[in-house]
Amino acid sequence: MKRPIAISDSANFYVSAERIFDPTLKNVPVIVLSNNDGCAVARSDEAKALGIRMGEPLHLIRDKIAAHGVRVFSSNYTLYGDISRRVVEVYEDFTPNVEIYSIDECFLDFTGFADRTAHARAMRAAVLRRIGVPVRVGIALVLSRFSSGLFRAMFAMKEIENGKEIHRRVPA
Amino acid sequence: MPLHRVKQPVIANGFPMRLVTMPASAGFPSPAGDDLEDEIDPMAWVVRHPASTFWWRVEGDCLWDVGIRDGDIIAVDRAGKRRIGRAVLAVVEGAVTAKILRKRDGRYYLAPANSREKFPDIELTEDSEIWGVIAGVVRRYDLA
Repeated sequence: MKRPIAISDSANFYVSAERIFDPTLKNVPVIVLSNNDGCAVARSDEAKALGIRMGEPLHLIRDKIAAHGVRVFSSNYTLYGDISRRVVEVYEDFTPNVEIYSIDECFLDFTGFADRTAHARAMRAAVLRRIGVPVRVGIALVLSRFSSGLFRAMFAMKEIENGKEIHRRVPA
Repeated sequence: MPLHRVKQPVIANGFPMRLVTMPASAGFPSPAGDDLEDEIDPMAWVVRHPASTFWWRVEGDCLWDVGIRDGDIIAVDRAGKRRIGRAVLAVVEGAVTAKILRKRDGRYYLAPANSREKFPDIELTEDSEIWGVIAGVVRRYDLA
């Protein structure tokens, strides 16, 4: 038996969480550092465009940060955990079955919704409005005998971005 | 022109709801004890939507007339309806400010509410954003 399962995730979740409270971070390069401020663990799109790579050590990108005015944050897991919890609360208004996979990823059972794409759109809009972080949602029909932990590897993810639907495979 | 900034969220860590671990009894406690009023949780009374309510600390007195003062902690609900006349948190030129939402001649303004000091109205532009609607205010007084 196949069930429609949605996966939601947030691009640059830590950056999005920092941006909620600081409007000056909009449209500028932002990075969030790992524990002890070692490496960049979250990069805004603008920071990615500067070529700052995931996990790149801070001391190697000091010049870039200075040259482009990159805003740099120590990680604030209390904040990210709180925002994550709030996002899940919104998801729970849209489906009775939410499985938290990571701080910014959830599996959501979309069984019983006729227009799943519209449902996903409404959910994304609600998260953006009520909390202020952008999330992406993909939907796939999944054999229910798989445990959700395996979903990620086998998902053909249907992304709903800017009104366009893109199919992509989520890496394992 | 003083834009009264509202500082970083008082809670980012989600403990505001947990702050109220002891529900306060509404009304005067009855010595009889068998006719007690319902208990209320004042924090839950303010926070209608826990997921979308964030706490900020107010700086400045530009909303004095509606009972919001410098140093107060305000609950701001992002899911609240943006109605004319409501106290809102807005983002203007990258700064966060608390004001009253007004409409005049088809244009929207952020207006202060302070009859003692004059602050200019700010017209809402495409670049400004209503961040949320003020849902409640918490204040405490010196005891020392």
